[in-house]
Amino acid sequence: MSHLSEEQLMLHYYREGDESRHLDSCPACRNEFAALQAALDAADDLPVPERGAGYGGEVWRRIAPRIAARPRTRVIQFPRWAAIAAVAAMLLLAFYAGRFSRGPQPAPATAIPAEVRERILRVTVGDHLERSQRVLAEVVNSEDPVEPERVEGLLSENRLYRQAARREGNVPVTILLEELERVLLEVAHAVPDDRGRVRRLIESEGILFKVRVAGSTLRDKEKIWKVKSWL
Amino acid sequence: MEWTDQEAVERVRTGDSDAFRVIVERHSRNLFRLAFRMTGNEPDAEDCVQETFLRAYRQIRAFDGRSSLRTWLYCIAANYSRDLIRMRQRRQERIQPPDAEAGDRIEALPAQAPLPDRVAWSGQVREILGTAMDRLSPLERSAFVLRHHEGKRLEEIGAILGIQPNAAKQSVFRAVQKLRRALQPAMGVR
Ligand SMILES: [Zn+2]
Repeated sequence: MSHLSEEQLMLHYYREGDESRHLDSCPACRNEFAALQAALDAADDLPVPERGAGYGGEVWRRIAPRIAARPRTRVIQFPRWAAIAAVAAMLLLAFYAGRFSRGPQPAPATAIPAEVRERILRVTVGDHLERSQRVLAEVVNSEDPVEPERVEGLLSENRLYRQAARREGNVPVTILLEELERVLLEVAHAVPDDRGRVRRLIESEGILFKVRVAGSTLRDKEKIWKVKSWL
Repeated sequence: MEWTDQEAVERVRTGDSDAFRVIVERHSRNLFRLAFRMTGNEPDAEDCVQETFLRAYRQIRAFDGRSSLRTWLYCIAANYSRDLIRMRQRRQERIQPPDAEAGDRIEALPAQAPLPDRVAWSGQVREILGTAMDRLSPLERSAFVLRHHEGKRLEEIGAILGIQPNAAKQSVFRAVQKLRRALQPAMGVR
């Protein structure tokens, strides 16, 4: 009778196999099993930090704003095409205002109040960053290629928002969108062999992290704005 | 108002996002434990818990009720953790390129001086195990945690991680071998 393999012993330990009869009659395998058992039992003691009874509520508070700002509800209040159109209109107005005022600096789009312009940017850019983040995460984590149309769509929106942000004098958003655009361009133009290089680029630029932080900052600002506007 | 998971899911589907709160409050602690064991650190575990719920909310229509909600959440968390470990290992590789066989080598950590004190000894065992866990491949680690700590059957692990049951068995087995080899010096067995 041959002895039990390490795999059989493991299956016996996890009760996915039953080797009791052999173990009862074979001291050598019994010893082997005892050693395996001691090692695996030790893994039970690996500590896990405690989370108290209020932890679920804490997690809820952290994610609730992102759930409330879901596209499903936002679509009704603020459709994406309308958002893009609004930003385009902002740019167009700014262009004409600059052209007719003939000043050295183009005047801002005075037809739309500054606060509204800011909000349009915040909501559209926040949404854009969230979608970009998802695409970049897919590039990094998934073996499947990302659909080119999605990247192209993000790129053209990115250009629009970048111009609008610059026009509004919003420096941090402008810089972030410039960076994002460089990375999106690389993703769009990468051939399958480039995947490794593009992944390294995304990771080395830390762009995913920046996009995530900026996205949540914009969402928080929007939340504050909504609360203030109710008062 | 004590909804079952299924009732809460139904309500979320009709647009009642507050019903999702019930789900979050009910499953957060278990998910954190799973995520911490899978990722080995608190920031990643927190990130995983949040991302799991956000993904679950977005995909709530895809939940078909064939498995329990808990298993479905575990599935999302396990796969996201795997991505996190993969990203972390890639980052580390950039800093410190691994030699070609490192991933496949089953190695024992250097033996430490024997400590008579039982507490110190178990602390040492934990440290060795913790390091050995970090050296597992993302798949091995996920499969091992699901089998060892969560008591999932190999078939279920396969379903959660999207691999064949036999591949799940192999992953758990490789993890067990690696952990055992790492522990050998401390456990005093050959
Ligand atoms: Zn035997």
